[in-house]
Amino acid sequence: MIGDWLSRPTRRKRELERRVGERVSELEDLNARLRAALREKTEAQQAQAHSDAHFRAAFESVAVGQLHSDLTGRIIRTNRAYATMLGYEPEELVGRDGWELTFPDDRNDGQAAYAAMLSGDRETYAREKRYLRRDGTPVWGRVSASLVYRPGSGEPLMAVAIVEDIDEGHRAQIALREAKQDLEIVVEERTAALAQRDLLLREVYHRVKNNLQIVDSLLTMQARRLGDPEAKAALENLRGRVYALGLVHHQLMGSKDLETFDIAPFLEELSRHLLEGAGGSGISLSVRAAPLRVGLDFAIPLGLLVTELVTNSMKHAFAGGAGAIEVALEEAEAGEVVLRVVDNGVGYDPEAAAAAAPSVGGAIIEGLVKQLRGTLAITTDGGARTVVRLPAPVQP
Amino acid sequence: MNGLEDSVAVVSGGLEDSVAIVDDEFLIATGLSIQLESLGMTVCGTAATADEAVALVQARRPAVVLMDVRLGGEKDGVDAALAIHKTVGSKVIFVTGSREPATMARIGLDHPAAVLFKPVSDWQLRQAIKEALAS
Repeated sequence: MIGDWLSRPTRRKRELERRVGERVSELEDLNARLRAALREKTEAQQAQAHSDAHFRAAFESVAVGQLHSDLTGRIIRTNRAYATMLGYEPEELVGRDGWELTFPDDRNDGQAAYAAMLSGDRETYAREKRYLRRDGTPVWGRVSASLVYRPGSGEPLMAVAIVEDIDEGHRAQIALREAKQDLEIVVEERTAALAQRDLLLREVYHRVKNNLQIVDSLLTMQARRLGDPEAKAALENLRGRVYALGLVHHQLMGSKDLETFDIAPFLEELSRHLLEGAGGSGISLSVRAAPLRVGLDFAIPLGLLVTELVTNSMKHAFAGGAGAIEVALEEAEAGEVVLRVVDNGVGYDPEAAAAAAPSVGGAIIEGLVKQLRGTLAITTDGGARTVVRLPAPVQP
Repeated sequence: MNGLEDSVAVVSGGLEDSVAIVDDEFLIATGLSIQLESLGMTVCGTAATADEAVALVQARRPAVVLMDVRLGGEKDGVDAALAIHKTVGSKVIFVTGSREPATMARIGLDHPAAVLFKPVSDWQLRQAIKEALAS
């Protein structure tokens, strides 16, 4: 059975070769898969490294402060913006307790809020607080942090935080708030001072009026003792002037600013007084006054001027008969005020006036026109016509 | 200066045709008295405090009272006017140096016959009294 002898080893060899071939093929296959897996892993690693690099670059270079810390608050890493804000190098902060970098006064509240996040009561931890710079000074920051969880288990792993430097804005806001408070105090003080001033001014005007009433009473008492009609009349004229002074203070007292008032109602009231004081003698008096705000310095001389001019007309123009007097005050152009007192009486005779003894009324008129830096013109035009041109009062 | 006597003649309600003057300034009270007398009125007396004023008016029952607001003592002219209004019914004319809102508001409590501001002229006084008596 040589054939058998020959054939057996051949078969065994063939069998061996087949198995080797199969094994090689398996190995090649495995190798290919290994290589593929290796390639995939390398690519993933590269991608991871790439992503890490991206992340680090982003973490490092952003202008806003970032830090990662473990759950106890110990710092794992920070970026330059955060470290610089506090006056450190980033490496110096690694391993430090983050709470040490919070300004002492703000620590308790911050830790309470942080604990609430850890316990799950709130999702994020966000607040504005003061941090502590290396030199011990506070710096305002706005922190917002959240937890990173372990994949799968859901256990919190670490905290990531973004810290924005809001010191400048905060200081500006505080400065603004303080400035506003200061301003409010100033306004309050000014308001109180103004109220006080108003109170005092009213009191002064009240006393002035009371004193004028006393003067009026003294004149009344004196007049009663006088027998001479001319002397009595002189005192009556004095009472008229005193009344004009009182009326100015009365207007001031009723004005909002206690300093100025409209001349028109004043002239109307003054004229009414002059007319009524004459006691229904058949003389009519009309007043036409443009609205004009005046102060004491203008109103007193003007009121006395009108008193004298109207009294003059009533006394001399109509010889005891009826007549009409017109008082007009208007603002002419170029800052000039024109006062006109016109009557339809006997007219003004300059020669007779020059020949007559100088009167108190005349002296008052001339003096007050001069005081007001005005000009006076008296003409006759179917009656006496007095025109006083005055610079308009300076408006306060 | 005429016509006043006619007005005074119509005084009724058991009141005298006279005027009481209340002012804590002697000179003002005296001056007002002379003014009134020159207008033909009778002045029944002057008082310087609220209590004096009420006593005077209750004793003399004048038709009109000229009343200052600020008086010596704790009570003011408005207190006196309210008491007079309640017990005698005289017409009260306030004579004040002030026109500040607080004073005016206080005067308003009494519904006065008139309010005159110092210094008071003869014709204002005559007019106010005429109107007070006519009302």
